[in-house]
Amino acid sequence: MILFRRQSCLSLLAGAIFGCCLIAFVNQFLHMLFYQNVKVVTTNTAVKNQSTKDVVKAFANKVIIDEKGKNLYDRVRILCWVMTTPANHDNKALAVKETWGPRCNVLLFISTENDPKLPSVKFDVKGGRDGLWGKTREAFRYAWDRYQDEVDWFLKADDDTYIIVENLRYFLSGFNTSKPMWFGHKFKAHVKNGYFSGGAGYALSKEATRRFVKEAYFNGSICREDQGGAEDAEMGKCMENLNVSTMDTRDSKGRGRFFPFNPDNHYFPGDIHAGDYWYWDYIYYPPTQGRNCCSDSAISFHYVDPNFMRMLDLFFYQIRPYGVIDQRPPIPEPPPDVELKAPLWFAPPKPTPPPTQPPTTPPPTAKPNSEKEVKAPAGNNNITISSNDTKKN
Amino acid sequence: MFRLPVRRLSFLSILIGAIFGCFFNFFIQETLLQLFSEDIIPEIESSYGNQTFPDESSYIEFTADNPTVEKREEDVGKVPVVLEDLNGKVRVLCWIMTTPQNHETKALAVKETWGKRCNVILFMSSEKDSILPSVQLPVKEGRNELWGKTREAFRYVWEHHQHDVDWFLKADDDTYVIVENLRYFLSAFNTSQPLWFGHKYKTNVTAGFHSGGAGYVLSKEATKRFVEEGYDNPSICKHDNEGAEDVEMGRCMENLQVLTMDTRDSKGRGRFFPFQPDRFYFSRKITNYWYWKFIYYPPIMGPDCCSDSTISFHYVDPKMMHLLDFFFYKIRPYGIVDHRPATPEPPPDLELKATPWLAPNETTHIGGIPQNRNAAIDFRLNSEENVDLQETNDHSDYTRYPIHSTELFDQQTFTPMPLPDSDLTTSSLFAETEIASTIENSPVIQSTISVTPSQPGENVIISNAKKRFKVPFERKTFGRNMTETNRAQTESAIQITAKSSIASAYVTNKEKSVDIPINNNKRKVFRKKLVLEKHLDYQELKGKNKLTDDL
Repeated sequence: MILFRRQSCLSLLAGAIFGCCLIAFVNQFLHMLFYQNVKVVTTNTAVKNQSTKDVVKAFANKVIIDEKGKNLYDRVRILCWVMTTPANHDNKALAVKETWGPRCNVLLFISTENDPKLPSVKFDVKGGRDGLWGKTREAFRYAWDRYQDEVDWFLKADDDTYIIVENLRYFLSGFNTSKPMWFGHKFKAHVKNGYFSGGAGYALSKEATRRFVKEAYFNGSICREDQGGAEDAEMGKCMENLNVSTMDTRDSKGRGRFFPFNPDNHYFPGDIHAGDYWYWDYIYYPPTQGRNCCSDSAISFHYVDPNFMRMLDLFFYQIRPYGVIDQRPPIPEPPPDVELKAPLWFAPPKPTPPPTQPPTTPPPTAKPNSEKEVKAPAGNNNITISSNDTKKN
Repeated sequence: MFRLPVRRLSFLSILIGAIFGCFFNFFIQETLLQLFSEDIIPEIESSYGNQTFPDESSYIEFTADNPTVEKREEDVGKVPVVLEDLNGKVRVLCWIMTTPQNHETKALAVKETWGKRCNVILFMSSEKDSILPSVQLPVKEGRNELWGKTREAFRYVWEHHQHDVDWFLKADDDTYVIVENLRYFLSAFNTSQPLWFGHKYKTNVTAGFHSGGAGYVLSKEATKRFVEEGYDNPSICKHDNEGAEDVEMGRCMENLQVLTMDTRDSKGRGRFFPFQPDRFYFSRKITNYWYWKFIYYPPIMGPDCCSDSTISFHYVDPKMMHLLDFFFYKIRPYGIVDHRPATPEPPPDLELKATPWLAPNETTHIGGIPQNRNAAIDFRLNSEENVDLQETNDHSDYTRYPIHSTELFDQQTFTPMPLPDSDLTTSSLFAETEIASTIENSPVIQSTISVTPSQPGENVIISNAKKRFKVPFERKTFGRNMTETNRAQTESAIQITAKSSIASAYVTNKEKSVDIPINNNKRKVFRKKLVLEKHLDYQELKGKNKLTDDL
């Protein structure tokens, strides 16, 4: 009987070890399979045979990865999903795909129609401005369901947003994705803790996305369940209800990283209408303008048309002054308001206009959609590089 | 019988153990390893806890009424730290051709953006100005005086700075130059050789001349010859101030046997550009019909248009200059290592043997080449994109003289006469050898031309020179009466001098590529000699016997 027990104990032990090894091996193998590839999603069977690696390889010269860059590429994995519409597939979404899109670990185009060119994913949502929140919900759910193991951060961008993905990785490398947080250009309207501009792009940590998908997606009291509403404001309310921290994304000198307008609108102050313009009432932190508007690790710009996107790619990646040393630390210095204690910033009172001055554009009141209805500032919205645009000024 | 139950029991045990092991491992994977991975990414947030919130005064003031770019003095002088200190080894003097109307706008933009990166920066104008400050040259203002300005400017810089710098760059006040790439490119050449670099055109001058707007660089030897031999001698470099300055410089350089070099990179992409960047990136944007007739080397359009060591762009307004500075120097993607070799690879046409490229009449890649100006007007995509049209109509903001030979064509009001090589024949002065093209996948067709014997013209003897040849030449008109030139050289003469001088000119440096460290604690704080010229009075200079009287 004793022998009996010992033998069975031994065999039990042997079996346990064998089981452990088996699972470990299987897990490892599966990880290798899904871990390293850059994937472009398709649900259309027509492109099932097309190797996704070839699609991205066509722009391989644009995906510049060196030793340090590769380290970040593997360590801080980002899924970028781009909100687009069928009318923009051929120009704007294509520009994203040809410029900064392939630099993400995973790139998705969220649209209302399948399109093998991009390729884009079709969702059953209303098109146009009314369906933006619906698209956002579906996109995050889709991304979470399929790619939660492959990526660490989830970035939302528009098809007229330009993202410098390396700087995004650099910035996010200092944060822990298991904590509930999200990053972007902070506005103080609508949501008590602030929300982020949708056009400038925002990034959710893994925990924030998990909470969004697991808890908020099916719960109407946490997040709005119908498709309407301003997607960035709704996301802000949602995140607040889920206790996700709305983080500060400025650099240690107080300069921003995510920008809701064109580069020249931020670099040349005065281009954004002073005084009545809604932007000054919305921003959470004090603005920086002029020479010191933007961090050297700036991440995103909005209202970038396709041509300008390619030009930005030319200026940032292709043409480079020789021999300029990068002096940034391996992990960026923390933003000033990392603990989220800063008071809100309010614009100084406007000077009383002279009586002969005609009223400027009335400030938008209670806009449901934070930015979409309001056009970018007049003036040089899309920078025309070739023409002498002094006349426009 | 005793064994069998044991076996079956042990088999059961193994199975149970395996299942237990699977669950155990799965459990470990999900929980404990998560904890482990958390340790790998350090808990930075705790170290952020000691940050104090900066007060309001540390932010840039919100000025609702301030429409201009802030001029912060501490930003103006800052230059990025440059690896290898090419600044000390390849010293460049930049002189900017400007006019008093542009001092506060365009010239100031140059000074605030790329001008400060040159070793010496000078603004050549007809009035002195303390804002820049500018050098007053003894020439009148006007588009007919630009060649005179050029002569005076080079003479001035040679007299004053020949020992301070190695290379002399001429640029306009709407040229944007990436000075680091210029140094990088010039580091391979020997400044004691007679060389000059720029964007090469093939017309008017046999050996080719460089576009004035895109900027051109003269070596020390070239400038020395220009000032010491060419300045005084009207048969080498003409004395009256009229004429397109880049063409005249080209003729002058040819007479002085200065070699008109190729400035493309090893893949055939250009470095000096006579237009804005988007005109080369996007097709069908260069509607200046003369451009295709003028360029010497085959153009590359599209995303691969520009070398990664691009040097210059033209027609850049002040706002765009600041933005280019912003994109090139201020915002940088993190973690990209520069793989360029320490010395750039030579251009394809280093030996200057290539036959000039001729544009075919129908080129779908470029989008067709308009033959005359009217067709060019129809060809434009957008009324604002045709710079030439705008330049001629724009009299309000900037007074801009068309100061290059190429622009003189755009101002013609009559249909020009068909160019001699519009049917793809060429003159006798071009070589008959085929082009050994090192450019793969050239988008435009190259044609090979056979030489026909030339008609004897006037023979020219240029005195006061070491190696001069008597060669017949063929006079060409290009729809406008260009001033006749008296100069000639044989192709063989050029080749002989080319081979001997270029071989010694080019430094074949096979160093490995330099890895730029990101966390370079040994920071080289780099003080460069930024020499801004004080106002100099012409009379004062004359009094110092620095200038002669024959002006």
